[in-house]
Amino acid sequence: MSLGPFTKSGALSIGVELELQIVGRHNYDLMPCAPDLLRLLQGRKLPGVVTPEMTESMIELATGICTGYDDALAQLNEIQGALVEAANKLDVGLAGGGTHPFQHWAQQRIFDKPRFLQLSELYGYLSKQFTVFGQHVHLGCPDADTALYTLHCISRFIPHFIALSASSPYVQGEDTGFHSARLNSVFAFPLSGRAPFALSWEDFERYFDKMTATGVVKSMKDFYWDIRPKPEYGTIEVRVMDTPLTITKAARIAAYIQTLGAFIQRERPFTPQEDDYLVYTFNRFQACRFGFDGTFVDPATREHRTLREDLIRTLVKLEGHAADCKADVALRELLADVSARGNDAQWIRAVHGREHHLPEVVRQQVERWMAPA
Amino acid sequence: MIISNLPAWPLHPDGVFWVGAALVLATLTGESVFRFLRWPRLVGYAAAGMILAAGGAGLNVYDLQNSARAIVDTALAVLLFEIGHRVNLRWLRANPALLGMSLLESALGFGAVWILLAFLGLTAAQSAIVSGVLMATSPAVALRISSEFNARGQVTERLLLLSALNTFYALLVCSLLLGMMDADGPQGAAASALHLLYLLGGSVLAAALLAWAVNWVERHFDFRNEGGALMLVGLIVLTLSLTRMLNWSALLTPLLAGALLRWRSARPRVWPQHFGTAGGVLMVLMFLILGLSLNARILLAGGLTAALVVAVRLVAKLTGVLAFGRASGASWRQSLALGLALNPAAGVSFVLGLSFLSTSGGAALHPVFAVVFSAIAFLELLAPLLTRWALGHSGDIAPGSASRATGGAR
Repeated sequence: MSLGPFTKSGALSIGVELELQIVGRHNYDLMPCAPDLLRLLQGRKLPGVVTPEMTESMIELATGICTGYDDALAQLNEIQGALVEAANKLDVGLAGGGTHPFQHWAQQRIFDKPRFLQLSELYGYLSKQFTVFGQHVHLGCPDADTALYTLHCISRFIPHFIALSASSPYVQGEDTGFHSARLNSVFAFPLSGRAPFALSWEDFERYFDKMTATGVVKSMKDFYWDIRPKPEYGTIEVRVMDTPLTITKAARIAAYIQTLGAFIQRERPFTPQEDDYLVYTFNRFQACRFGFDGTFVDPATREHRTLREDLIRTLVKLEGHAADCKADVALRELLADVSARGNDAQWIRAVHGREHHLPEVVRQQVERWMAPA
Repeated sequence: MIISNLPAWPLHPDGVFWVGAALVLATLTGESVFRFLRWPRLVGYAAAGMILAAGGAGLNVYDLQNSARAIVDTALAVLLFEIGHRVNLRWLRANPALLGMSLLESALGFGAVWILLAFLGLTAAQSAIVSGVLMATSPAVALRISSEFNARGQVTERLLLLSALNTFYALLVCSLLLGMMDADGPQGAAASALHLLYLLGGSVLAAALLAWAVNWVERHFDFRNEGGALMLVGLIVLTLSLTRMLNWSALLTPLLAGALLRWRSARPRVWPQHFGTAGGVLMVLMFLILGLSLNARILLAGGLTAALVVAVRLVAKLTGVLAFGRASGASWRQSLALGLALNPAAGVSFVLGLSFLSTSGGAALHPVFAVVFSAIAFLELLAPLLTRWALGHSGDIAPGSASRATGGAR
């Protein structure tokens, strides 16, 4: 299969995808009710789509193309409303969070769809351990080369997105010590990591053709990169975020990515180079492990600072672009998270510190996700 | 002389020997059907009881020993508390079609059996006894199969909910019937109405007390471990004895207490399966006793009519579920599975049957009781297989899930 042309999309338009947990109301363990939710939503007109995911205890929602923060939040709100109504009818809960804190991977059931069954066969237990829940944000790019430029510039901010969205401290009933343990599951896949360093679409196509020739991959879907181009949509897709505990935070993070896109595409502030990636996995690990307190190494200057410091600097620097994108309210809220409130992983740990009961933690996550925004 | 200290020959095994032998046989049968046929274990327990009864060791249901009755009552109290706690009243508010489904399947089940028996020549009161007793879907079977096979999904959730609800209706209807039978007696209608009020009011009171006690103890002890769970069993048994002393409903009380506890606090509770080993042993003994007392002799007396009753009840319950299936958000396949899964009847119906037996004072009503107990024998032995099949058919039990679903907290 060839890569195909890069579709033209509205520059700086955004789209948000969220993978959600479906849990039972009795013990708040994962519950395989995705087919039931999908059946209840059949024929219902929504601004986006609701689709099955790898296992039957997950469901994915996606907005249509959004102009910005307000539009994304409005669309998310409408889809959430429909999902909450269906979930109540089935007495199941829907929750954000990058991992389910105490589910057992061996008990997950693979959704009955050829692609998922085939993946399950290939990856074995990895595919069930992949019962993790992420947020993906699409960012519209005017052309393919701009898309690759944006991709390699925005790579620098990957730790920001991780720390802001982190909501997976618990895995299989244990505190992992991480803010985002979900990404550790993602890294286990052979084709995860970062996109190859290519700044022109011809170079990228050449890489893709070489990879397909090896027989290792068939389509872009087989790459689990942190950011990957999506030529059919004319976008780049940022995939490192945990699903936040509320749709509001998901929309804020999307707005942050949009604002960064505006900054990068309008000012062309960086000259990406391969050496930027020397510190990439270090920065990413620090964000996963320590959240805002992690160390951030500036790829250009090699300067060390905390991720919190770098985030605050960036958010302040972006104020002008944020106002242009009507994302200023969203970014101010994120600034409050960074400087005072903490991320969702910290909230989850605090709840567990109070309750000492992981099912109760999940119940409170459900309350937060299902509450009207 | 040393010789005089040796036991006299032949040996005379005491009661403990027979309990031990019965337990070994029951668990052996239970594990065998589970491992080789992937059938529910409790079918094996009941079957072991029937085999023992065929060998001459059976119990007489018309004159059941107090100890056997006490075991069944205790097992039921624990089970009813557990299933009461699965009733989420908020679900009924969000999905009223489920309440409609529950009322319709119970009403149709009651009505269809009543009409059949009236047609076969029983009096209205006699038919009502059979119909009322058989309204309930066995909570034991529903709970046990869903945990044994790690069933998860809409059909399982609805099975547990509908079982709790129709058990609740059956308890109300039977109390009412018992009251009416009483009213025909020497005391008169007013006294029996007062008695009914006393029974229901007292049960609600005892339920509130139990729920409050569990909630209070829970703040200080962890019910997730075996020791804490045993304390929970203790509280339930204490309440059981209280209700018996005061002549309140020993069945309604734990059911209401469970539901009340769930309704009052949203905090999820994770108990060991059937409250650990204690609950597990009670469960085995209860099905063993059911098998021992509902044996071939009973089936010979009422089997034919009972078979008709079972068939009519199956169709009625299925119709009730299918009528509201789609409206409640289930697929046709799930509705069909749910309708079939609702069939088992066991401990609750057994005890309700016994309570009619004791008030009616025996002989005149025997043909009715032969039908009641034969029907329960069919429904405890065969209907669990239907439930097991239905949950597999709906996808709630994943293929191959039984092997690892043998223990641990849910």
